[in-house]
Amino acid sequence: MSEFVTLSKNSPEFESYLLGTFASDKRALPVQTLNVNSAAETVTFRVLPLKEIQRPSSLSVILQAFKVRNFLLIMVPLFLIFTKNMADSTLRDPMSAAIATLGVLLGFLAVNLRNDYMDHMKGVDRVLEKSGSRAIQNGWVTAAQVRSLSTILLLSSLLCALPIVIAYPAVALVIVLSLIVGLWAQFKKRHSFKYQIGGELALFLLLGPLLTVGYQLAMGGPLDRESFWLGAVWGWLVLFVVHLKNFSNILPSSQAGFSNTINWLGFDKARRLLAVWWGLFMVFNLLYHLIYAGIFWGFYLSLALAVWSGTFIYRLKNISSPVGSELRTVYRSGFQLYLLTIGLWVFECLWYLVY
Amino acid sequence: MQRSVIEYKVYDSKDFPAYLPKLNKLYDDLFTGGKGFRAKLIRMMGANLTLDPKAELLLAQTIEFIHNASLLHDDLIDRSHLRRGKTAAWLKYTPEYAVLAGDYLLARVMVNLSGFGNIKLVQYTAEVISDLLEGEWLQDSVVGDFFVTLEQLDRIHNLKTASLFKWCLRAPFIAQERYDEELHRILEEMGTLLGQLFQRSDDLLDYDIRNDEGKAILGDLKSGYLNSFGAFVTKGRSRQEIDGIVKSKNLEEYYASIGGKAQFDQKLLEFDEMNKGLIQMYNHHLERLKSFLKPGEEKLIDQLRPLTEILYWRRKPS
Repeated sequence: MSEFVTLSKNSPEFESYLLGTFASDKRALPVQTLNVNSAAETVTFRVLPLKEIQRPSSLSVILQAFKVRNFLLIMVPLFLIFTKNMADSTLRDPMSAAIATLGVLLGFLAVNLRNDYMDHMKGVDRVLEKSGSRAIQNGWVTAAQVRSLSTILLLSSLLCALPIVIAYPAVALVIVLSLIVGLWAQFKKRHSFKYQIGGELALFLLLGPLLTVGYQLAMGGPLDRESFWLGAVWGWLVLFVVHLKNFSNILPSSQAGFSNTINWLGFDKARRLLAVWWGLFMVFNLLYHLIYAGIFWGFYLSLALAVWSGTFIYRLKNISSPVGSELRTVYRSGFQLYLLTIGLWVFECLWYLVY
Repeated sequence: MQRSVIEYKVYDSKDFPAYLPKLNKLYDDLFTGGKGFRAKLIRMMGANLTLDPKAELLLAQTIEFIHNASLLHDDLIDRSHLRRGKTAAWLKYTPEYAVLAGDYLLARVMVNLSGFGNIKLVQYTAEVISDLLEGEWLQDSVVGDFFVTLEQLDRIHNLKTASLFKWCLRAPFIAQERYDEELHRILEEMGTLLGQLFQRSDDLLDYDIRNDEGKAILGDLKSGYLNSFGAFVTKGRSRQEIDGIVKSKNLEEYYASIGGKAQFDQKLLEFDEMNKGLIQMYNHHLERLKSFLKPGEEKLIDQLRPLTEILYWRRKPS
């Protein structure tokens, strides 16, 4: 039997309900949030006995909580740098590469979980019903458990970084820069989580150039421009997906007062931004190939992407509502382009390795 | 103290300039025949909060003016031919007059309210009108979209329908200069839930459920609007199935397109069950409201409680 509890931010129990530590045999599912992230915030929870929580299989919980789909964001740049070094025969330290890979994966898991925890506590995932992993909001795990696991994974990740920094001190600089960018993003989020434009920049740097350059150095490779530009092109593509996601949430996130680039531009201009962003990605991708990979792949890859872009641009041009089902089709169409790009890149890299 | 629900006249032709051709005739048509539910709600709130009768009348007028202005515009946007069984204003007069008459009502709201002198009430009312218009705009943008989800429609209904219910609950307190933030948060949540329940029940009329007022069957669907129950039924169905559903010309075809009457009844049961959850939540907020009422105002709780019976189940409270 469920019951409702409504708590204001000034209530002493507010945090314990959000964290899930108010009782060991119950879960509080947030069902309504008003005045999100303000002193006047009020949350209504549906309190359920633990045994009444509908939980999928443990594997599904883990896959969803860890946001396995997001792993492409990190696996792709690692794969690109790895194969680049394999093809160029500059992979000098396989052991260090393995440890760095493990460290980056653990770090990414930690950041994912910390992000889920923060977004739950701050209210983003309570306002946007499709945001985050939903593992906390569905009551499968508590926010406190997610926070603890995130800390453990972060410490494990730092442990992995230790031998690499000793072996290649230049990596320390990249780690410090990444920490500064990451902490700056967290700081901005803590103080004004509704302002997300800074977060977009942080994401570009952390998943783009900082990751590729750091990984390049960690596997004993030389510091080169190619790694930087590879990261920049990838970071640009990551932001395309971020903008796409923000576009599909344009109404609820604007109503909640979040200021990201998409909301700032508004529905009509945001459509143009997405089209231009994708167009520029294709240009950057072509330039990268012309400079570092050769005209053959640059031409055919760009041709394939241009052909596949037609549906996306058509749907984007014809979308008429910031709330209807067309948002989903535009998102799917854009996401397919992202997956197609990854597929083509992977194929290209394997081609280089084989031939 | 039991007062009859509309014993005062919300619309009086003397309030509008007689030299404007057709204006008062248009308003006469518009204001007769409506249930005046929102004005009744104001009446109920006012009676229990011992609101000054003049303020009560002003609030009742305000909400009915806003609501009727939205109907004038709505009928034109939807190209509806009938309103309350009569020819819609845009057809009977002209689309231009319908738009201007709606705008005029909204302007009068601001004139009347600013004369009352409570700036917070003026500001809140202006916000509600903005929400209403946003809701109208968004609703128009999903016409012809048969793949819209219930969650997306809820966002529209929260702006278009619930905003007026929230206003009915909050405005009497604001008029009395009772601004406690927690109190208004509770009323906001209650208004949201009432609006959602009313809209969902209204959407069920389209499928001839609890349709005692004889609303046209499948009117929404035929005019290209998948309402909340429609979205609930189509959830998880394939594009091909939905294409079949939206082509239904009558209820028999509709039942057949979704797998038979038994399937329809099952979906209705699930829909009702989901909305019972909203009613539970409404009752929870109602309990919270108690602590914000002054001695002598407690009867308001007993009168607000059966609103879900009236608005969702469309039955007189037992």
